[in-house]
Amino acid sequence: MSRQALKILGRSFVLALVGSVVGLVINLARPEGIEFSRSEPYNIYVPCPMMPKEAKALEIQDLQEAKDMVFVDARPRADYDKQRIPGAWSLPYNPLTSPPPLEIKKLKALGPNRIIVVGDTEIDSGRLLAAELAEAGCLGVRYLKGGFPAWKNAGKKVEEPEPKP
Amino acid sequence: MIQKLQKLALSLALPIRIYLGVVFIAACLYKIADPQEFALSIATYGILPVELVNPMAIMLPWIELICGIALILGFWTKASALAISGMMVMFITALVIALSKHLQMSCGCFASAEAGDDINYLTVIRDSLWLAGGLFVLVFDDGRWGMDGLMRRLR
Repeated sequence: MSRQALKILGRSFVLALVGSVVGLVINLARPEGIEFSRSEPYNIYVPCPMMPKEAKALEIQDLQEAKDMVFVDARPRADYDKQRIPGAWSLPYNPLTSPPPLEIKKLKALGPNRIIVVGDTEIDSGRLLAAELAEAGCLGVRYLKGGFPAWKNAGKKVEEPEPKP
Repeated sequence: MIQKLQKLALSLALPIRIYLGVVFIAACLYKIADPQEFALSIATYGILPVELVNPMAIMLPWIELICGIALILGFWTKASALAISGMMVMFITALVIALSKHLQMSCGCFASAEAGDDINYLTVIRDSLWLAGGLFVLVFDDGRWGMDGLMRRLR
């Protein structure tokens, strides 16, 4: 290493050293200074690893343009059994498990841009399930903003199956 | 031709040097103001052992400040550019490790976690550009437009 390079390296070391010493002294002097070394780990709150894919939102008024669609109901099965969008498929969102591979296969077979997920507003299950489906390889998945309540409030047709005897 | 290019590089090095100095001073302000928060940011990366988190949070912002001021003043220009480039290599490595772990977290570069500044590959590109700037100053800036040059002329 040349003399010039050594000089530069030495000086950058001096800069780092001066910075470190100033930092240490000021930290000791200031009331909000922190302890120099800590043995207990920090409580870190990091959200779960991000979902790499995010489905697009669809407003209720844009539904007219959405022809040839298949609605996937992300609400719990009990809600689906009470009231649902006519012809909707039930695929309840479960934060702890992924959708069954067989269902994914069926949805993939529909082709791109055909799936609209409808959930409930409480846990935004429509958006979450749509993201999972997109991640699983379903192309052009969208979710209805406002979920099933938005559908109902817009006066759209609702199917109410006969109660089972 | 080579002389012309050298001249051009030299005149480019001055604004890059000042820009980098300002960036580093801006980056250290929140870290100096709230060392506890910065320590938490460092800990979130999960790279350093816990015993080294606080020393890093205490010392790093002041090194950034001193190197930033030195760059702007043109004092020990190449040395401060080397120190800044070294820090940039460290930051980029930390970012790449965090991104490879799919951590959704604040960069901790300019603001506290609550203020956003989430990491992504654009953060890596931004830091890489700053690293390139630091290396450019290290190679091409001989400090003639700064205290280095002034001291040379006084000698």
